[in-house]
Amino acid sequence: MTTAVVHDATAPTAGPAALVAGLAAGSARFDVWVLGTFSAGLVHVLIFGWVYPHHRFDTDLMAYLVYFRNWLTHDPSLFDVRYFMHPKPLLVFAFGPLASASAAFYCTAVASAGLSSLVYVISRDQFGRSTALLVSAFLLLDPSKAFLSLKSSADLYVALFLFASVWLCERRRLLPAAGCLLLGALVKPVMLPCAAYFLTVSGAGRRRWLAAVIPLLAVPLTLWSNQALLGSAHGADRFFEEFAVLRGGDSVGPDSVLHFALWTQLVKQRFATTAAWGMIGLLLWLAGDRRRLTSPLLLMPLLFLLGYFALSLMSRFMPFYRFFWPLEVWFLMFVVYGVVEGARRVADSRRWLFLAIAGAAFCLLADGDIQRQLRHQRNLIDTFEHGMGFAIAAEPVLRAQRSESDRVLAPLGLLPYLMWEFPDAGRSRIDSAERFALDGETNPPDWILHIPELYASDAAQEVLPALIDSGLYEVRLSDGQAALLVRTARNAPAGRRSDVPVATQ
Amino acid sequence: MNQSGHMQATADDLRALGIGSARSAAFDRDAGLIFALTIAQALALAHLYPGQRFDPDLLAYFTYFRNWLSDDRVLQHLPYFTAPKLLLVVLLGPLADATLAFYCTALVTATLGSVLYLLWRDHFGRTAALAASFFLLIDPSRTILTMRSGADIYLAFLLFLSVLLCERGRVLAAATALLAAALVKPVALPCAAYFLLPVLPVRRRLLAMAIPFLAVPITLLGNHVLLGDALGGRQFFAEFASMGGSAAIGWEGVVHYALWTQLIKTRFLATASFGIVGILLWIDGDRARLQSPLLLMPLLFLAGYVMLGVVTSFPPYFRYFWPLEIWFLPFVVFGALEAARRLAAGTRWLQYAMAAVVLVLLADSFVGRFVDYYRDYVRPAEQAARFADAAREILRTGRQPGSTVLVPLGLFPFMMWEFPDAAREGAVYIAERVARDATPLRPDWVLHVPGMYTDDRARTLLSTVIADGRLSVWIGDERAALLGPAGGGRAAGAEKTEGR
Repeated sequence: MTTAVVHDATAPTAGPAALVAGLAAGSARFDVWVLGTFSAGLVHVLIFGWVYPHHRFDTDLMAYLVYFRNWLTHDPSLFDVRYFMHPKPLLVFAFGPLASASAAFYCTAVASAGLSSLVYVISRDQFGRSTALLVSAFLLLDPSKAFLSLKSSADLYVALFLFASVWLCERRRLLPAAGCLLLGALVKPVMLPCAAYFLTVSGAGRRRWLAAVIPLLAVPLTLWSNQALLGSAHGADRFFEEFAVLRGGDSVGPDSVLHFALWTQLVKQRFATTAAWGMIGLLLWLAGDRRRLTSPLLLMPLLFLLGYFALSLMSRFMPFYRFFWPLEVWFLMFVVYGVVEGARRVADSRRWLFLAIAGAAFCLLADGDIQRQLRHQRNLIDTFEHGMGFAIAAEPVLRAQRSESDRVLAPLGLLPYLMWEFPDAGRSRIDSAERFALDGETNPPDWILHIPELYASDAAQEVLPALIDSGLYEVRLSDGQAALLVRTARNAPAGRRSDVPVATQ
Repeated sequence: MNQSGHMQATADDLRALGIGSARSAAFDRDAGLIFALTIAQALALAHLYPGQRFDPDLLAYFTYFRNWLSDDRVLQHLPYFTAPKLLLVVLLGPLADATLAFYCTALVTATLGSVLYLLWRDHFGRTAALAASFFLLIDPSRTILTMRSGADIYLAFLLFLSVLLCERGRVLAAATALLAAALVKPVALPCAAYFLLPVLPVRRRLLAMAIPFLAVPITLLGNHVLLGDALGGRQFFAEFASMGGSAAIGWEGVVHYALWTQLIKTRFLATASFGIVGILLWIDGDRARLQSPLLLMPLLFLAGYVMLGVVTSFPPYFRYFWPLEIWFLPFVVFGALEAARRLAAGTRWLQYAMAAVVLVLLADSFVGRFVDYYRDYVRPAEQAARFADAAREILRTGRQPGSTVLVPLGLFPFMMWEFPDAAREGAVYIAERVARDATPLRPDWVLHVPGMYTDDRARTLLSTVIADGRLSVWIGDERAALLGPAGGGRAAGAEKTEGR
């Protein structure tokens, strides 16, 4: 086993140049694998972006673009909405100016590749190069990483800042680490408890207090951002509950967050066949040096989990697997280490035994990833890709035929996209089908963008087909599964409608 | 080499293979304890779930035996009935009582526990054997197979008894155990190939090899007697699948299903890798174990199912491959304990922690499976048994000769056993079959247990029969109803049952 790189706690902090070079230099020599993992991560994401071109129009990302444009144009239409996607200040103000989903995707591709390199470097420093390369390979195989990257997901950035912070802490660069935590907390405040790690660092003098305070700057910045984007510092609080109501799903409270994240997600789902190896890896790593009990690699991810626990104390929320994805990446390192080190010690220098044991465990790990990829593909990816593709195709039809006063009903997930494309419609003329179904509204909308697989609630799945079957609507565009429909009993300029070819169902 | 030298070499060979190495002639108290615990557990569970023992297969064995005794040939003309397991028909049939059969099975399952403990103790040591025995005790499959006098518990017992006897050098006794196993299910026959290993004298080898094959003529004779045709019963698999039972698999899917789907992806999802580690370490400890009966016999048993798949497609049930589960179980436990020992390198807390991680995950999977079993099988079967018991009395008194009865597939053996006259009249119909063939039947009686139908066509058929209002509810509750000619019985529960 390669032991962790030992850093002198009393060494003066190096300049920024050394910081950048440090990523590539676990030892004195340049590590070409850092570049290798970065390139592989980048190519991997770009290939996925090419295969699934519509995933970049992610709901949350489009919401960031809408938030930023509204802020720039002093448009207060989102101030009083009952539900909209939660604004993540860093991403709103980083992606907002780009005003392009593709530009944001390229940005995220680089961030994702950076995360690959970071994970490699941290694994290399803790577990040795072979293990680190295997960790990188399995991270590349992880479908969650690919799709969080495709969607410019907040959770990818949270993971990036969390691991950047871990890596910097391991190198005793507490203030840059605190800066990373600040950025992470500006994406999701659940990262704030990670700042408590700095209080455990010995021999860092005042720096540790300063480092612990820096991430807390995210609190006033987030409140200011909420005030600017939603008209109220606590404006986003209501979104959690409203989202749970719209989705008709169960939210979790403090009693179940830890169980969900550690047991349901890590042990029973993500690493269903290999979790025991992860625990063995963790035990072996800790047994190697008891001081690792205070290592940032152990404490920071656990403090991050504590952040979600604290969030649940304030407001129940619907748990998505992606929320805890950084913990998956963290645990993956220990799974791989557990397998490699476990097989090495059990085999006791017999090569065939080492290869057989490690091979069996890695086959199961890879099988888990492949099965998950197939499930993702069937349940989420193809669905969203088709739905978003249809929405993009419907946009010119809607642009050509819709009157300014027309009300459009669409799945919740397409709301930000439509608001981005039709700024004149504002929030009041574009509604979610889920809200329409939940409220039992009787006033039929003028347009329905009907994409059954994107409805997030059972109520919408039932109400919308019934509304369409009522005979009030005619199809303007359809691909056999999804349809753009217009209410027939309305006065629309016929000449404009004929500009667009009508697809039949 | 002189004679004594040759004999010594042969004895060494046998010991190297684990054969003839009766490592502990003294009575092992733990084996007795496991026997007692298993009996106590089986009795306690049977007390809690008394309806489980009325398993359709067991009632079918009773029916086969009674019909054979009374020269009743009604079963010989049925397109579908539960396939007869000859040994169980002959062994349990004369008891003619599900409770007596259960006691018999409880003894067998307790003996199986002791046999496995001895086998595991010899190979993996006492600690691993006790731990594996504990997991066997909490294995929900074993408890349910016991309560239902499942054929697979007898098969597993005879298979592992054969392995133990092989290891103790009792080759002919082992061959006889295999013969008995093959009389339960012929898939045990390929295990006889184990005796071909060139470590035994040729004559004993050939004799041991030949004994299990006596099951072939005996089974053909049994089929001829019970089904009127030596090759009768082959159509039952296809008929069962077409009535909405599980989809059948061919030979190409058997190994994948048994080893990958069942062992790795379902039963030992979190711990399968340690089972593989256990096998590797066990073989690494002595390469001669590659020819051990503990390794080869279960694999040959699997080969038996592959061969069955060649002859006919069959619906795979997890219980078919349960003997493989209990074969894999000690390797998981041994893999966990031995890996923990080696990894900890003398650090005791680390060894305990690592072993505990794996064993807790293993226990979690057993407990989770028990909860699933209870919800999906045990509780519905209990309710169905209670209902069938109540319905039997009413049918006995209320049913006129010649009137027809429609029942779910799972209650067909119950009707054949309890109402031999109705069976002889050809008045008992299987709902799934009637629905499949769209037979124009207007039944006089319906045993309606919605949770028991194996396909949706039967549910639709029953909804139609109930909706036409010709029949009224004689007894019923929220989960089942006995419907008979209008004007009889009582309407209690009718409003809850109708239209479902």
